[in-house]
Amino acid sequence: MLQIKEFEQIIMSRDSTSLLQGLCTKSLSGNLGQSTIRSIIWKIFLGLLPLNKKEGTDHWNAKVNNDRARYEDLIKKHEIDPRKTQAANSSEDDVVDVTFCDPLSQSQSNPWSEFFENSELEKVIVQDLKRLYPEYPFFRTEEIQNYLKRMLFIWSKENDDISYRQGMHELLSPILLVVYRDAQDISKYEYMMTEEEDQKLKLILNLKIDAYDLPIFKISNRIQYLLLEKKDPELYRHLIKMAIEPQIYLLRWVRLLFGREFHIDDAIILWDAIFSDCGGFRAEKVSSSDIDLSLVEHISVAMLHYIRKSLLASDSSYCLKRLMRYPPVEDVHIFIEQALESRSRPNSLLPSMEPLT
Amino acid sequence: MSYSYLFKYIIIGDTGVGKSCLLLQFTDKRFQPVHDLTIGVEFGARMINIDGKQVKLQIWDTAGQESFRSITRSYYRGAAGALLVYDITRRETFHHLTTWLEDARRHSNSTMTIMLVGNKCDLDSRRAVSYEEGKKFAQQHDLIFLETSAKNDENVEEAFNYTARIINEKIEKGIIDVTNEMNGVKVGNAPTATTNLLEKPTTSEPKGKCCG
Repeated sequence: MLQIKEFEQIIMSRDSTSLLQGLCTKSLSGNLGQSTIRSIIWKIFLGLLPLNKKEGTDHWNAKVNNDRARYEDLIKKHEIDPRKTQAANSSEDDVVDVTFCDPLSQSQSNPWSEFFENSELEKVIVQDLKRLYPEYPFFRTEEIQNYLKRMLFIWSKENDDISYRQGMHELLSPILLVVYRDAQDISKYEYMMTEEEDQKLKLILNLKIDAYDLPIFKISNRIQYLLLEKKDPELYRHLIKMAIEPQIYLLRWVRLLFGREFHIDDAIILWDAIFSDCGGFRAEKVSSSDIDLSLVEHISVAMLHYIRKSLLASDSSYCLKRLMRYPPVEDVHIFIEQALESRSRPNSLLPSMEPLT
Repeated sequence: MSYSYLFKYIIIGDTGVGKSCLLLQFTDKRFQPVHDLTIGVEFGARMINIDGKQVKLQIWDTAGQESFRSITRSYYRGAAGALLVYDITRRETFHHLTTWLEDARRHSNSTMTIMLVGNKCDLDSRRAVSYEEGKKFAQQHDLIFLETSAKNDENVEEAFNYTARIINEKIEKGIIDVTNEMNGVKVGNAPTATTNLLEKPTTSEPKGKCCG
C-alpha cells in the first residue's frame, strides 16, 4: 500500500527539517501527483500538523484530538436553539422571562435575535453552495453540502468582522475533496477514519491567503504593472494600451487561487506548490503579513505570458474575454516551473514559450 | 468590425437574480441553469443595430454580494446604461432596489440610463413581486421597466436594445456629450449619422410583460 508507506516515512522521520524540505521539493516539482496522503502533507504545509525538531510527529495525535475537540466546542457554541434556552429558564424558576425570550423582542440579548441572524447567514451560504461546481457530483450530495455549510457557518461566526464572503466556499471545497479522497483510500488507517470535518475546518481557519485580508488592488497592480513590466515588457505595454485594469481578472485568479481557471485537479497541483512554498502558514500565529504570495504573483505572470500571442493580437474586448476565460492547459506544472525560475532571477525576462495559436 | 458608437453598460442587483444569465443569453444565446458565482466582474460584448447604426455594447456584469461593492462601484463611472435586476420570485431582491439605486445614482454620471429588470418571469407560479409593483417602482424612480426570462429568452434582447435606443436619443438630443468618455459612449470609426433617413426610428416601447 503506497499511501501507508508514504505515511510511515513521515511518521518515522526523525529529521523534521529534511522531511519538510523533501515534501516541498516534491510539491514544487509537481510530484505529489496522486498522493493519497496529500491532506496530511497540506496540513503540514499549513501548520496544522507542525513539525518540530524535538518531537517530530509524536505530538500529532494529541494535536488532532485537540483540534477535533475544539471544533466540537465551536459547533455547540454556535448551535442556538432559543426554545432550549427558554425551557432551561422556565424549569429553574417556573416562569418564562418574556422580555428575554420573546421572539419579537428587540433586545440584543434575546436569543431569538441571534437565532434569526444565524438562519439569515445560513441562507446566504446555502444559496451559494447551490451553485457550487454544478458539473461535479461530489459537491452536489447533501452530505458534502452540509459539511461545507457547517464549516463556513462556524468560520463566519468566529470571524464576524469578515463573516462569509462569496468565493470562500470555492476555496474550501478543493480542500474538502482532498481530505475525502485520502480518507477513502486510507480508511483502514484509524488515524484518518472519523470526523475529518474538524480538521478541514482548521485548515480554512488558517487559510488567510486570499484577498479578504490583503488588499487585492495592491497585489493585482504589482502583478500586472511591476512584475509583468520586468518579465514581459511588450505584453505589459499592450495591456496598458488596451486599458485592461489588473483587478478585473486578477481578483478572481488570486482570490480563488486559480480555482476557476483550471480543472479542480490541476488547481490542486498548483495549491501543492503554493502551500509548500509559503512558510508563513507554518508560523506560530498566522497573520496576513506572514503570508508570502510571491509564487502566486509569479504564476499569474507566467499565465499571462503563456497567452501573450493571442493577447498581443487582440483588441481590448477580446483581451478581456481571453483573460476572463483562460484557455485549457495541458500541464499546469509549466506555470510552477516558470514561476520559480522567474522568481529566482528577478531581473531577467521570461523565456519565450511554445506559441499558442 | 467597425461601429458607430460603443456604449458601456453595467449590470447590477442582488446575488442570484440572474445578472450573468441575462448577459449570457444576450451575448451567447444560451442559458445555463446553474451559473458560476460572479467573482468581481465579468465581461461581455455584442454588436447591435440602432436606427441603422452599428453599436457595440460593452457590458460589465458585476458580483451581487456586498463584499464586492467597493470594487464594482468603480464600474458605474463611465457607464452609459445600467440594468438593475431583481428576481420576481424573491421579494427581498425587490426591497433592495432602493439601496442599489442610491448607490448607482451616487457613483454614476447623471446621464446614465437605468433599466429596471424583473427577471425569472418564467417562474410565474412562484412570483412574489407583481408586474404592477415593478412598473410602479420604475415610474416613481424614473426608470424604464421590463420583465424578462433569461431562461426562455424573453425580453432579453429588448432590455439591452431599448436601453441603447434611449442612449442614442440622448446623444441625438445633445444630452450626452460623446466627446467625454466618462459618459460611457465612445465614437467609433463608422459613420454616426443615420444612414437611411427614410427608415423610421423604432423608439416604440416594447411590451413590458413577458410570459403573458
